[in-house]
Amino acid sequence: MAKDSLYDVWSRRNPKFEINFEDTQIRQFTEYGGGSVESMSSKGKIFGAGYELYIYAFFVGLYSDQKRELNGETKVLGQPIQFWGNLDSKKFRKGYPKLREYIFSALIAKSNQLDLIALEKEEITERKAIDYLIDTMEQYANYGFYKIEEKLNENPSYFFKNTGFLDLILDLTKTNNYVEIETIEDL
Amino acid sequence: MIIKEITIENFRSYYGVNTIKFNDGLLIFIGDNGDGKTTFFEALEWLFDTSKQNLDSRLISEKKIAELPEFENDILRVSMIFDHDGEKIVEKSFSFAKNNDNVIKTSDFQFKGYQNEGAERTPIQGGVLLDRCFETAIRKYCLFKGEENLNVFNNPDALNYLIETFSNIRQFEPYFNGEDDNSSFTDYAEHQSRKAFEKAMKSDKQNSQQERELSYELEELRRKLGDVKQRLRNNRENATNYSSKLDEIENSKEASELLKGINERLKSLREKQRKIENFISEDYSIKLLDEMWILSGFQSIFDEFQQKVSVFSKTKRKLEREEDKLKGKQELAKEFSEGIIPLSPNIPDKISMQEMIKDEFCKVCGREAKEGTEAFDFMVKKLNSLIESQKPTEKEAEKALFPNNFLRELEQKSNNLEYTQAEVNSLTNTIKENIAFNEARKAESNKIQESILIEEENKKKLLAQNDGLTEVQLQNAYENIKNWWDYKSQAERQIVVLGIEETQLEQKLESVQEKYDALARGSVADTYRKIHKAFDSIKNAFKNSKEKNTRDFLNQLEDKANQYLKRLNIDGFYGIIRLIKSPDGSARIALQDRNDTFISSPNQALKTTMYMAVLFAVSDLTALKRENDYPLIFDAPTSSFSPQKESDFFKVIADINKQCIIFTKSFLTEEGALENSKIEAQNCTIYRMEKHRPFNNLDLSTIQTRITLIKE
Repeated sequence: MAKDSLYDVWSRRNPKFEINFEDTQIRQFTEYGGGSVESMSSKGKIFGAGYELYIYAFFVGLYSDQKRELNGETKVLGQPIQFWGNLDSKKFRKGYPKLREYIFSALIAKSNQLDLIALEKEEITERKAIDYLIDTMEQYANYGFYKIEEKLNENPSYFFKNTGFLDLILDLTKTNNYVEIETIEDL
Repeated sequence: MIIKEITIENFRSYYGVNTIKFNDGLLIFIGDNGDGKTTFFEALEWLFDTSKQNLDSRLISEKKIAELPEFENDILRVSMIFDHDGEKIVEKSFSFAKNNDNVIKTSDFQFKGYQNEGAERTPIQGGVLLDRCFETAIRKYCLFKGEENLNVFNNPDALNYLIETFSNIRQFEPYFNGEDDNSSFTDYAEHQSRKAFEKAMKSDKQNSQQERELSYELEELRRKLGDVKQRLRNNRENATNYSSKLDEIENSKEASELLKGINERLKSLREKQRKIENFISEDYSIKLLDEMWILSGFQSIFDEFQQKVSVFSKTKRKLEREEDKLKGKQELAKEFSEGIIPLSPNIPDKISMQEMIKDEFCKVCGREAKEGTEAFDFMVKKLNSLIESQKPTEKEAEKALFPNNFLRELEQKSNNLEYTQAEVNSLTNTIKENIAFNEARKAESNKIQESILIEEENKKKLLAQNDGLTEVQLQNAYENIKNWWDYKSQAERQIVVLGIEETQLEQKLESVQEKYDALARGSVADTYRKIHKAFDSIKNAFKNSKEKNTRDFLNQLEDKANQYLKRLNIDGFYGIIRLIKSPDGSARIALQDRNDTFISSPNQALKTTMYMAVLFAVSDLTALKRENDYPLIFDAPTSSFSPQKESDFFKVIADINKQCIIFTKSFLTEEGALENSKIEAQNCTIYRMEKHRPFNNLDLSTIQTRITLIKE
């Protein structure tokens, strides 16, 4: 029997987050825990499903290149990764299933504990390999949630302005761009 | 109620006894300015006023007073015979006398009523009878003076009254009255069951700490929410008050060409602004995902991924090559080291071997081979390897160095993503462009906003203007208007902010309530929780159906009004009437075109027909509900109509099955003569009102109204 691809096995997983972020962030910004995407704007929510904020937090951690181990009680999201960004679950929105593949590629790039050669040799199981990826994902997202919390503590309405979520991402990636520009100039 | 006959005696210009017969349907009184139209109307108002005894001597006919000898008295009287479950009469009167100083004294106010019971006529207090047959509140929708007063919903309570009286909403009263009103059953039950639930929770020792925290939080949230709701109500009230004040002023300047110009410019500016703002899409947070803007910093990570896959691939290939080499070497070495080609394992055969082992004797060498000796062991080993070699040849697959091939998957992913990487790399620019585009539109919109502010400033100044104002008065008037304007905008802004706050608090409250409920699950308080939940659901069901009833009633009213509007505007644009209910319970009548665009300033004639259509609709609905119709009485409602439109208008009203009494100066030429051809064309009863000639235009006591029937 052909083995499932790493991507497929990873997709069926459902990452965890620290339960304290449920009230302070996920329920604040998303429809997590009830409601449909259609009612999103009427309730003043910024994102639809809970995983949307999770993806955001993940990228914050990723671009900050900072991980943070999860502590205390944890909880999983409502849907496994394979459904994230699917078009059929949303009205008035555009699907972004491809983003899952990018997240996956980032996890492969950043999960240093995962020895691909050992996996290829079957010295570690596929399951174990995916555990590493999920671990990386959870730790990046966890850092992201703490970062968002920090921003919220500085300014509770930071993310309620139109550019709030975008600004943080641009801030984090700006340094990269500057480096690039400088290198080009050096040449 | 149908009016059959009205008698006016000595009321202002109605000298002596004047009796007018009425019939069902349309009835027109034609009269010029000062001919007594409004006086007739006011006589009815005086009769219909059941709230006070008004013996004002100014109501008495001047002519009568002039003729009245000293110490004699006479009577002022207005009476009405009407049909309402049989014939009834109301009569209001007072007597007046002149003393020796020619001073008029009034006395003996009477308000009598009679109703027929079988063949008998029994007396009843007039006010009581009138209130019973023609409720005070309905009278609001019955008597209309001029065109300006037709908008019944100018009075904020009017709609609430209508809904409460004529929709089925009254039936809800015992069960649900509205939030924060515990007088009705469902509210009471919900409130009590909640208290019982909370009490049970408090007495449960197990959760006491958490219960205390959560109930404190709940209480705080409820308090905050109540506070926000109150502030919202206040702001809504303010916004309505100030905007109706401003509307009033604006209406008074309706005719001003300057104002029309400003309003038109404002309208087109706002339209333009709205169009530009439509282009602005600042859902940046959503675009992070939907447009994958979040990948704007992904390039280096993707590089890293590709790097890793490439290293992985190289390492794997290298290892494979080394492994291959190693295998080749091993085989070669084996060949070299062994030198001699061994015998085939099946020599000697299995049976011979077993025999030799049994005998402990090697028959190949011809030597003894006792158990435990090297020779014996050799034979056993030889046998085993023979047996082994004879096992079915299930060729054992050589274990590969790399049983998995995830490399291929990762390489595919890499190629696959590479394909869209160009787009991803240009995301930073896309985002910049997008933001720049929105900013440019915003700048445009702001520029228009500046023009709007200038126009609004002009409007405020114009509204402040009035004939004969001094500089200071003008300044004050302007300040007033400016303040109202500011208060109104402030209130409107607050409404938005508070609205958001309200939603957030409601959500928070809901989530804490959920936690509180969750705490109850499995505890002794759970039964109380279930009971409370049941009552809460019942309350909400009543609340929702009450709201639905209100909506249904409004829709019905709107439908009917639109039917009338269509009939009243033959061959003309008329639009669609919308009854817009604001959260504070008041309503306004607005006109919309087919594309849902509001028509901000319909012409007066259209406005009049719009209000009349609503009035007819109200009258229809109330008649349905009460099974009794009432007359609509209008004083000069059609001043703004063109002669043709007016003529058409009367024809339409004549066809509506409703008693409608209209006082008008239509059908009169400039010289005050009757336009007989037009009168002929009408299909209704028409009376002519005029001043009895000759009269002295400086002496009120020579004025007397005469009413003659000119068309039946």
